[in-house]
Amino acid sequence: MQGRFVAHRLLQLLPVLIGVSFIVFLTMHLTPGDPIEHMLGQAGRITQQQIDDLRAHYGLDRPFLLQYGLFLRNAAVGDFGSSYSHQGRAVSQIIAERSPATLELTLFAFAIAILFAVPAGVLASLRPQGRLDRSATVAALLGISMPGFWLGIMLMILFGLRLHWLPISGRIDLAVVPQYITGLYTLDSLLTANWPGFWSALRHLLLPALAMAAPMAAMVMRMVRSSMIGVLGQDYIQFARAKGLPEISVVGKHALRNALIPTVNIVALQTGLLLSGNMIIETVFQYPGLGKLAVDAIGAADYPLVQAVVLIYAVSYVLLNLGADLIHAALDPRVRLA
Amino acid sequence: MKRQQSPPHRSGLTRREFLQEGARALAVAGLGSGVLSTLVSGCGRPPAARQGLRPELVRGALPVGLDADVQTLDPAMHRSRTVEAVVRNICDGLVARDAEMRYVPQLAESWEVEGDTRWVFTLRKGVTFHDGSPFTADDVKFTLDRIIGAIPDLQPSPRKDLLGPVSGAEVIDEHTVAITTEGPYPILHKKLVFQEVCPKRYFEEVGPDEFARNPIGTGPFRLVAWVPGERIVMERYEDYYGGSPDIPPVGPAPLAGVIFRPLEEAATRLVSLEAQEIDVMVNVPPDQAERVEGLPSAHLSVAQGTRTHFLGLNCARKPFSDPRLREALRCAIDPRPIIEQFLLGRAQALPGILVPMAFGYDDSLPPPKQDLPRAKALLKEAGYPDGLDVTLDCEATDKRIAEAIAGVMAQAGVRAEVRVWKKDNLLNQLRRRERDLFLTSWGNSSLDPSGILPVLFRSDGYSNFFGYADPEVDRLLAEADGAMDPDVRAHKYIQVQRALHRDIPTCFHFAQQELYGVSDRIQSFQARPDGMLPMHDVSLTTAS
Amino acid sequence: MTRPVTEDDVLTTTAATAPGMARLLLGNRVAVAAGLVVIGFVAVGLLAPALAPHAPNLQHPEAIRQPPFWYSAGSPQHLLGTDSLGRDLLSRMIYGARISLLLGVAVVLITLVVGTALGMAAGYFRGWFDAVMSRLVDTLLAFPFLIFALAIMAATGPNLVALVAALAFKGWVDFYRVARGDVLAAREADYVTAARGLGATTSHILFREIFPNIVPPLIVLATLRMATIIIAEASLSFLGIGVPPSIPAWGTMVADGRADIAGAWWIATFPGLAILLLVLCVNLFGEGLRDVLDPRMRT
Repeated sequence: MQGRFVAHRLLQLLPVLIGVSFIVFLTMHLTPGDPIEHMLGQAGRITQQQIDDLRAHYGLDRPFLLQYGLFLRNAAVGDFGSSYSHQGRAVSQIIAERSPATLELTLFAFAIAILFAVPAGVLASLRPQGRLDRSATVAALLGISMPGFWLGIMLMILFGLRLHWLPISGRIDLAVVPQYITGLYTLDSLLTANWPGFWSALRHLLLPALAMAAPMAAMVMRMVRSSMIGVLGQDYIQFARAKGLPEISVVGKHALRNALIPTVNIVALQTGLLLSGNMIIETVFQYPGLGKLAVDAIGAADYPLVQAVVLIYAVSYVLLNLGADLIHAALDPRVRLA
Repeated sequence: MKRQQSPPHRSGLTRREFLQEGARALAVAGLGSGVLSTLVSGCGRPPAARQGLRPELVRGALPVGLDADVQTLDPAMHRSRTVEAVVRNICDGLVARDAEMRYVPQLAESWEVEGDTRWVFTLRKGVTFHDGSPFTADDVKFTLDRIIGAIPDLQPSPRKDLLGPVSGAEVIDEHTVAITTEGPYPILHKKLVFQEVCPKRYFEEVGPDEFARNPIGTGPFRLVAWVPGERIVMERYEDYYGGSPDIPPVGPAPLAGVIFRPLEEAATRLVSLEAQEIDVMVNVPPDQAERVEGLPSAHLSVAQGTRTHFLGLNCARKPFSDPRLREALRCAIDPRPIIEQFLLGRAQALPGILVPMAFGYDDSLPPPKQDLPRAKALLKEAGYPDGLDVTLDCEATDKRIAEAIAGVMAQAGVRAEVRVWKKDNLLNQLRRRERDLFLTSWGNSSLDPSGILPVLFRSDGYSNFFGYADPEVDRLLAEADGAMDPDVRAHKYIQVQRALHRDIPTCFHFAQQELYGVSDRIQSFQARPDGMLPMHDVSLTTAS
Repeated sequence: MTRPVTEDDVLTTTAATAPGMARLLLGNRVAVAAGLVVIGFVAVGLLAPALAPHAPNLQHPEAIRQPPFWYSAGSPQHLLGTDSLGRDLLSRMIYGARISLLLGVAVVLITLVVGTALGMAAGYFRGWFDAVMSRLVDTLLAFPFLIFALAIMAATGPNLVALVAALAFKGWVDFYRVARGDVLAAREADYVTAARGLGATTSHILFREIFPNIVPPLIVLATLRMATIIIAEASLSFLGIGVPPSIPAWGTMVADGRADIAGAWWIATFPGLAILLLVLCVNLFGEGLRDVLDPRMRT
């Protein structure tokens, strides 16, 4: 039954992907920038022949719908064409080169957000209006009110330039680069027992990940807190306490499990926002990942690259929602997946 | 998110539904897996590296902080100064320039011109590529054929126009090659500086995509690894033939290796230099120059640049089709105070488009001078007694200067609103002559007027942003293009400069200095006007 | 989504009258203070020409990168210092309030009207319109806001109308959902059935009966969305594709200060603080409103 649900939801992915890719295709083709001219940039004695040759090479002289159709057909087998702003290199290759960096950063930000927000929310809920609760609420409000790019810059100034505690650019110190296994420097260092490399990668990740995680942590913390407050007021909690169960079990097992249900939805929603916050943070820190790639590609009217990145975001978003629904169903036996 | 109490389902699907859903599932699976496999394949694919598990770490490699990222390492497939600076360490060319911009033979030993259109190059012997294979005339022919587009099915090269009107190359023997041009082309040897030789056999073996990630050449350094967005690592090539005999040192590179790190943010580069994470910082912003000079472990290296910044005027339509208004604008601003204040003196004001180092520079042109009363009088005469409202378009990096200029122009009654564009967008609009007043720049790395005057000022010039059309100038430029005698060429270019000074399609010219931050443990690093980074010539102080 | 009964439900029933709500809101001192601060920002924006000590785009070449007044190198002429072109930071921040508030209000109004109208139609009439809208909404949601905004702005260049379009493009979905959900619930409610029984026209039901009931959550949402829009506009301006550079905007100012973070740190810091303060107060006020008008939405 779960399988049918998953299959059904994956099928809904298709119209969404087509819709998204069509919108991007349309937008980029309607915008006045000509990617061939972008490519040639400052070229001097360029002839019309040169421009036409390049245009034909990239298939830009074909009618719009034909281009779109070809794009879809190629995309289905993983061929996303050649990048204009990367001098014709394959888009899939360029994206593959940058994804480990963004994957690592996003996972790290996600982990920071959850590891901080859930315990904080639980602890705050145990004593509502208490000191911890009040400071947590203030912190959360600040977290959602701060512009991400500014937080990133403030972190750079404070921890990088004033205190010299953390680096403000790059992913790792060149002297301790680990052997390439996955492309995630923390993981690769762990797998090769390269402790200096692990430590260096972690230090480089910390500031951008914090900047990315702040808004998500804030929302998740508030959700956990209010869910827990609601749940802790329930009869069955009193009952469990009356039965003499230890408080840890009451809170951790019974209350938290129910409180996490609405939290999962918020987490899914916020992770989607994490993806777009990622673009800004990567630009602020000049972090060599997909987000920075996307921002640069749009500026260069690099249609194929932009298409591919947008599709990745769309797929991630839909899959995240699907995952959230599945987890929700797993946690809450009252729910039947339709 | 649909979640409801639903009645019990029917147990199975009809065949039609099954086929429909199956088809959709396949399509989704295809599209989705295409996307996901792209993502996942990034993990587990090592960066461009040489065969074998050679460790990427090169002991003693010198870190250099670049101001832009490289998009490819194929010498023929880019128009980026950064890419050229990096690739020039891996691939040598037939001709090179020294730090004073003098032309010296590199892979070519010597050359002779037969008639007007045939250049015979004698190539150096005993040169090898990084895979050990010998460098021969075949490789030169292959390189040039690729650039002029004589090889079918290969991507057209965006550097074709840089090379000029070359019609072909002919292999005479293993170390002799003849290059023919379409007409008399006096500066072929100068233009060969911008092209690097690619190995024919290796290229054909690995194909263009792999070559772009993993090139080899005859240069002093061999590529070890390229992690896009992060670093380009190269190590000394021990069997290097030595390089041009006219540029010391001759022999394998003193440095064990180089690591180029793209650090696009100037603040980041500066901090890295301070923290000694990099030893060379490319492109120090003028307002940080003093800071670099004050660093205990680094110093500033300066060269006069080859890129001219200028205010362009659209002569083809109002308001600036009126020459009085153009002159009013020229009188309204003197670049020198602005250069002092906002560029901290790190630029040179110029009377015209060419920089003093350029061939055929006219040093008789008067320097710019501010004359506000005359500017106002001209405005009034042209019918704008209350001043003129215009838009000043510029690209993001020039925003501050543009705003400074607008501030000064306001004193003369020209009220300019600054509008910022992405560089490529701006250039496209300028080519379509959609802008009236704009601040932009044009590079002249060859330091030869043929690289800048025709493209900007010939009536059919591809980048004639100004709508400037003067048949006399067209004639002079055409004659200069075909004159094999340097003195004749120089004379014609001087006349063109005088005409441009009279007609004022551009004003407010300046060329910025190239500023580099260099660690004190390096000796013999010299900033160059062309922005190249020949690391072969760099060595460390003996104390390091 | 089932939800345990809490005291909030009790609140809803007792405070359902306007005077009751106002009293409740004013009782929340933090929200009131925040509201006053927001009004203060509005006032500052409106009175900018009178309040700002200097013209915002005027360059003072003798005072480039001057630190704030509490430094020895600072001066009371430029209380918060100057930027790399010698422009007074305080004046630019005061003028910056104008564009942030203006854009925020404009975009929120547009998305409110569009979203509510579409949502009410979809919720009340259902049918093919609802189905089509549902697909459209799914697609739009999967679209990263920043990419669309970047694409539009990169294409059109600096342009306020395009900026509004870019900011509004995804925002209406929230209003759509709330309106649609509430209308869906309301149309089964007793008072609507009664009205229909009495022969009321559809438009009467929609506008006179249902609409007043869905206003409170919409107001709350509008206030909270305003905060998001202000940050979004600042982000776009920071990236250089938002407000044109001749108009002082906080996001642009932070971007201008980025090159100087190692030395003249104040150029990037203070405009960001302004954004933070305004957005914080909008959020606080919005939450206060929500506690009063629509406790169901509480997180």
